[in-house]
Amino acid sequence: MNKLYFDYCASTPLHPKVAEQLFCTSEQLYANPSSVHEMGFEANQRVEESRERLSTILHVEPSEVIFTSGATESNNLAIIGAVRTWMKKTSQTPHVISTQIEHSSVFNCCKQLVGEGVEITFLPVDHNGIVSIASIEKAIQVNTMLVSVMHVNNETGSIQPIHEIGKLLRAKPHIYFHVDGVQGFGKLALELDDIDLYTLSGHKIGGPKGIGLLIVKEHVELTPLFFGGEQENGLRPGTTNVPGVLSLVEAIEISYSEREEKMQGLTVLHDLVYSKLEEIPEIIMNSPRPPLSAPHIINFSYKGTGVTSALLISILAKQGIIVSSQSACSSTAKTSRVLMAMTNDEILSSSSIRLSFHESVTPDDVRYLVHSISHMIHQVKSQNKFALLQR
Amino acid sequence: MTLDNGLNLGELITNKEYSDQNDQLFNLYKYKGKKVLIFVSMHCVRCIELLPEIRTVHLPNTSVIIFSTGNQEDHEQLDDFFQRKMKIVSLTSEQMEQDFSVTTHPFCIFVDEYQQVCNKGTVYNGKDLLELVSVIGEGKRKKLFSNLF
Repeated sequence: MNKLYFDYCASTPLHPKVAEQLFCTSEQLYANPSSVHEMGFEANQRVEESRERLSTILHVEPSEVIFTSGATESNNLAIIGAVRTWMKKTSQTPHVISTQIEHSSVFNCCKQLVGEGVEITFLPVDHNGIVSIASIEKAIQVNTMLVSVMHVNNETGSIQPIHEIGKLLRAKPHIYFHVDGVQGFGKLALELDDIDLYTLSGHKIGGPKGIGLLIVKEHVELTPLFFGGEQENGLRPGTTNVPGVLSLVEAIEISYSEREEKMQGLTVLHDLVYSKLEEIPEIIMNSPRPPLSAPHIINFSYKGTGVTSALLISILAKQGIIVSSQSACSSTAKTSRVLMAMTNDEILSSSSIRLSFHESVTPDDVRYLVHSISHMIHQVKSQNKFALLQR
Repeated sequence: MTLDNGLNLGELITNKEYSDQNDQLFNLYKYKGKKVLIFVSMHCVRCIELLPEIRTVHLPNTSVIIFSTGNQEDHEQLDDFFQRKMKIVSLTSEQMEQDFSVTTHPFCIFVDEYQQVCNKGTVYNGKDLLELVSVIGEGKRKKLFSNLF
């Protein structure tokens, strides 16, 4: 059976140009870039050239680009690194502001810090899954040292007002602003002027797994999480992943240059799917429509009882449709924390489906998707739901 | 398969009464012969996909008892689906951990006629299930747990 994949938020295929880059550099640039010999020097030069290219695209300094193993590490480095620096400098308890809908790599990192005595405010969101500027302003305390808010929510696609938050915090230079940009990069316009720390992952944008980056602005002081060599300004010791870095930069260049064209196509697909799903009475749409949501994510729930996300995912898989519900990093949870924050409804939060799209998806693919969902809803209502799982 | 979950090998299962899908109380100890206890969550994709596989597996002289996080409606449909051949017990994830030390799903505990755990592991399909109930034969098991016999 042919499979149609609609889980591009979890991971994307390698872009062909990136795959070529990854293969060639893995084969040819195997020397350790920290080695003193010529081959090491050449590998190091390629990494630094990539850093330069990236800094040009993102309008930051090359020294502000820190390569990591991925978004989880970047988010942990940004948050824990900033908190530890604060704790070294002052006896005052640090206060961090975040939201209830962050990815687990931010949310659980903050929860871990609560256990270490750090004060954290997890702000609520509205029914569209969007945090308000007013709530951030109100939550700021004298000891607030970090605000961490994602750009695009990974479950619903809700766009957070990061540029407005950045403007608000511009007047408070002692508060760092961290943005988890994993689901927003290459989809939405990005301006890093008022952002101090910015996270990006390779495999969400056509790059390889195991590589990501953290933009750390010059004025930001972070304490490293690991200790070892002096790679990445000592902030991220460990042998540099040369093929990963070069491939990541290739993927970023492609994402950046093709963004507008891709978004036009994705907006058409989003509108087509959203409009059709809205017509199914047993379904409730959790994602808002653009411009409140990014056009590559649609989240909906089954309104009735006794139908979990797991069941819906399994039934769709029998029809060759690959979807997910929550973030791949929290896929065994009973209810979606994000949807609970938006709806406070356990039924809706335990029966959600996330569809996420990519530029390779065609209108025919999404027509089949909508047909399959509609058919599944009809079957779930009228038949033994477990019988639907039989091949 | 993983072995880092569930009651220890050789350990006696809990001597407790449970209520099945028909609200009938039963005690696992009064169930004679070998038993396969399967633990599933209705929120776990792998568990949901295991259910049709269980239906296809024939385990001679072995009772299959399903412990599920589902509600009454789920279990009525499940009972229908299994053609009323298995006991289905509603248990929360917390109760599964408390009574059987099961923390991840889907999970299976194979219990011998002496109420001892003789094998356990994560099962994703019928093949895993068959392997789990056949991997430790009678003689080998007695040797492994000779102190208990």
